Amino acid sequence: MMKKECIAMLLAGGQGSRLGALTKHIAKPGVSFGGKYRIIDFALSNCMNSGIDTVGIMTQYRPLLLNSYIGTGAPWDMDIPNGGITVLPPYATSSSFKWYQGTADAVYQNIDYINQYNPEYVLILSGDHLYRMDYSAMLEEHKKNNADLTISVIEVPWKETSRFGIMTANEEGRVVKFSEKPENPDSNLASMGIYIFNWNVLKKALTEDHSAKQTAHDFGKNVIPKLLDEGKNLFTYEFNGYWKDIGTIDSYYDACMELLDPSSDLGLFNPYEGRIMSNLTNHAPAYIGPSAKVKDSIVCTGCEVFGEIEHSIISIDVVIGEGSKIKNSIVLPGVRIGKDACIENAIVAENVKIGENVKFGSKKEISVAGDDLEEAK
Amino acid sequence: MEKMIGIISANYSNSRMEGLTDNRSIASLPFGAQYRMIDFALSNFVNSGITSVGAVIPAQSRSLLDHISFGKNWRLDRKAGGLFFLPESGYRKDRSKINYILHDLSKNKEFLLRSMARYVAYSCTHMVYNIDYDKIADYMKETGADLCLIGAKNFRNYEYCLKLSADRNGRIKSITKKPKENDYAFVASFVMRRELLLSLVEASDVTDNRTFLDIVIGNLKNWDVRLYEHTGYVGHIGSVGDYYRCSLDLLKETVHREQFFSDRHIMTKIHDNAPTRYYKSATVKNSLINSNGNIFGTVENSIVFRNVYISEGAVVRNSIILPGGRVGQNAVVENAIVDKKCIVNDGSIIRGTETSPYVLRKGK
Repeated sequence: MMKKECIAMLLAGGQGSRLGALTKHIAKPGVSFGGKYRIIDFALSNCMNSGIDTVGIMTQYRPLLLNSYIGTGAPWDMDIPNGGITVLPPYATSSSFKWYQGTADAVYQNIDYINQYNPEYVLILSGDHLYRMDYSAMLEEHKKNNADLTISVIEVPWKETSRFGIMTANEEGRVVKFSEKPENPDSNLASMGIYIFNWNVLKKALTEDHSAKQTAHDFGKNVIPKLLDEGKNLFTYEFNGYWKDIGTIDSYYDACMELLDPSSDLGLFNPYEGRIMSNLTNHAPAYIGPSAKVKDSIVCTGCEVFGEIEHSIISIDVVIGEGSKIKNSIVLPGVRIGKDACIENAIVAENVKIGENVKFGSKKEISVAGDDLEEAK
Repeated sequence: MEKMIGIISANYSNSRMEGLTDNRSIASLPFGAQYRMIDFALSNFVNSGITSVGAVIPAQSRSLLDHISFGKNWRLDRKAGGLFFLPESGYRKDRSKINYILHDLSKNKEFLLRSMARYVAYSCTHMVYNIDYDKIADYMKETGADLCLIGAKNFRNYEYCLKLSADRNGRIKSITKKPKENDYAFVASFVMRRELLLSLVEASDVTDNRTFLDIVIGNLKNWDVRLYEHTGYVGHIGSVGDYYRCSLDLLKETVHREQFFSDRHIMTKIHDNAPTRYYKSATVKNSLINSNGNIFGTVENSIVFRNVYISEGAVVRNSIILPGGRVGQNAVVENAIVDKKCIVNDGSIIRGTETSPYVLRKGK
C-alpha cells in the first residue's frame, strides 16, 4: 500500500440507544438527517473537503444498512485504488475474537490496517457529529506546535460543562489539565472527540492501554489523561463553527428543525464551500399535487405530496396522501402516509406506514412513530 | 454473451426549438425538472438489460458529454460493455436535418463489429417514452423477424411521423406519410438483427443519400419487417410547442408515475444538492419541483428544475423554469419557458399562450 501522510479512523460502532426507534435498525451514524443526508455524511464529506482520501470506518452495532450506504465511498470521491474507504468490523484472528471494547480498543484492534499506510498522523473522528470542518487546518496547527496530540475543542455554555470532557489550556494552546464532566470547571472548552495523533505516539499508547489493568479502553477517559500525565505535547485546536452531537430524540428534533430557520448555521445550503455529499440514488423530482399545501418546510426529491405540510421536513421517497396534515414534524425516508392522517410534533421513522385517518402526536412533547400505524377500529 | 446492444442518435436537432437548441442538440435538452432528453433512451436500454450502448454524438457536444460522462449514472461505467461515444459523420449536416444513421455507423463500424449480440436496439432522442426492448427482442426471436419498427397510436403530433401499415400477423406492408387517427405512427425506434444492420453499414456508399428508412422500404418484401406496438405514453418533441406540451403532460399522475416512479424508472446524472426550501409565503400546486430550490412565491402547473429561486410575490403558472433560473419579486411568468440561468426581473411580466409559449432565451 502507498504511504499516506494522514489517514482517518472513524468510529461508527455506537448504537445511540437514546435515539430509540431511530436506531432500532441502523447505527447512529446511519440515521437520516435533513431529509436527504445521513449523519455520517458530515464526517465523510469533511474528509473529502480536507484532502483526506483514506478512511477506516469501525462499525459494530447494526452495520448492515450503514455498510451498503457507505459502499465504495464513491459519493465522497473515495472510490480509489490505493486507500479510500475501508469498513472495519471486529474480526477473528486465529487466536481470538473480541467485540470492540471501547473507542481506543477499536483503533487498537485495527493497528494492522493503519500500518499498511505507515502514516505520520492519524485523525480520529466520530461518525455521529453534525459539523463542517477543514481538518487540514487542524493538521497544520498540529505540525506547527510540534504536538504529539491535538484535540479539537469548542466553547460550550458554562452551565453545560458538566456534560463534556473539558480541556484547560494555556495561552499557547497547550493542554495543562483535563477534566471529565467536571462539577467546578476552570474552562469551558469541551473536547469534540476529534483528535490528531502522531502515529508512533498513538500506537504506543494503544498498546499500553490494551494491557493495562483498570481501563475502559476509552480515548477520553484513559488514553488522553495518561498521555497528559506522561508530559506529552498535547495542544488544543479551537473550532468556532456549528457542531452538534445529537444524543437524544429532543436534540435530534431540534437540530433538524433548525434547518427550517433561514439563518441556520450549519451551512447546508452553502453552494460551494465544504459541501456535504450523500450517497444518492436516482430520485424523481418531487411532485406537489393539485390540492397540496407546502409552507415553511423542506420537501426532498422522490416525494409525492398530496396533503398539507407545515413547518416540517419531508425526506426523500415519501408519499403523503390527500387530506393529510403534517405539522412541526420530521418524516424520514421511505414513509407512506395515507389519506386524511394528522401528524403533529412527531418524528416518523424510516419506512413506516401510517394508515388513513390516523392521528399521531401531541402538543406536549415530541412523539416518535417507530412502527406502522393503522386507524384504531 | 450479450443479447442486444443499443445505439442512440444523439446528434439530431431541428430548427423549430426557438433558441432552446442553439447551443445544444435535442439529446441535451433539459426535460422534466431533472433530466435531459437522452436519459430516456439510455435508461430504457439499461432497464431492458442492455449493457453496451453506442451514442452518436454531434461535433458540438460539451453539455452532452458533461451530462453523460462515463455513463456511471446509467450503470454503464463497466469493464464488460459500457458506453461508447460514436462521433457523427456529419453527412449533409449543413444542408438538411435528416438523420443519416448508416453514414454515422459506417464511420463507427467497430461498435457493431466488436459485439456478438444478436440484436441492436436503436432510439432517437426527441421522444419521451418508457419502452422495454427486451420484450421486443423476445418477440423477434419468436417470430424470426429481421427488423421490428416500434409504432404507437394517437400521440401528440403523430401526423408528422411515418405511418406503419401492417397485416394481421404484424408484418409491415407499407411505410408512408401522414398517419391518421388510430393509425400506427413510427416513434423513431427499432430493434434489428445486428448482422443485417452491419451488412447495410458495410454496403453503404459515401455518396449514397438514401436514409435508413428508404432502404427498409425498398426491402419490405424480402425482409421480415414487423410492427411492435408501444401502448405507453409517447411524448413527441418536434418543436418548442411540443416540448412545452409534453413537459406539462408530466404533471399527469399516470405519465410521471410511468416515467419516474416505476421499477424501470428513468435515470439521470445525479446532482448532489441540498433539498428545496418552501417558505411561509410559498404556494405550490400541481408541479414537479427539483432540488436546491428557494420558493417564496406561487408555482402552479409548472416544471421547476434545480437551483431555481422564485421570489416573494412571484407567480409562475403553466411554465418551465430551467436550472438556475431566477424569478424576481412580483414577476409573472405564464405559459413560458425560462432557459438555464435566466433571470426574470422584479415586476416583469412574461406571458405566452398555451399553443405558443414564450421562450426566455439564454443570455437575456
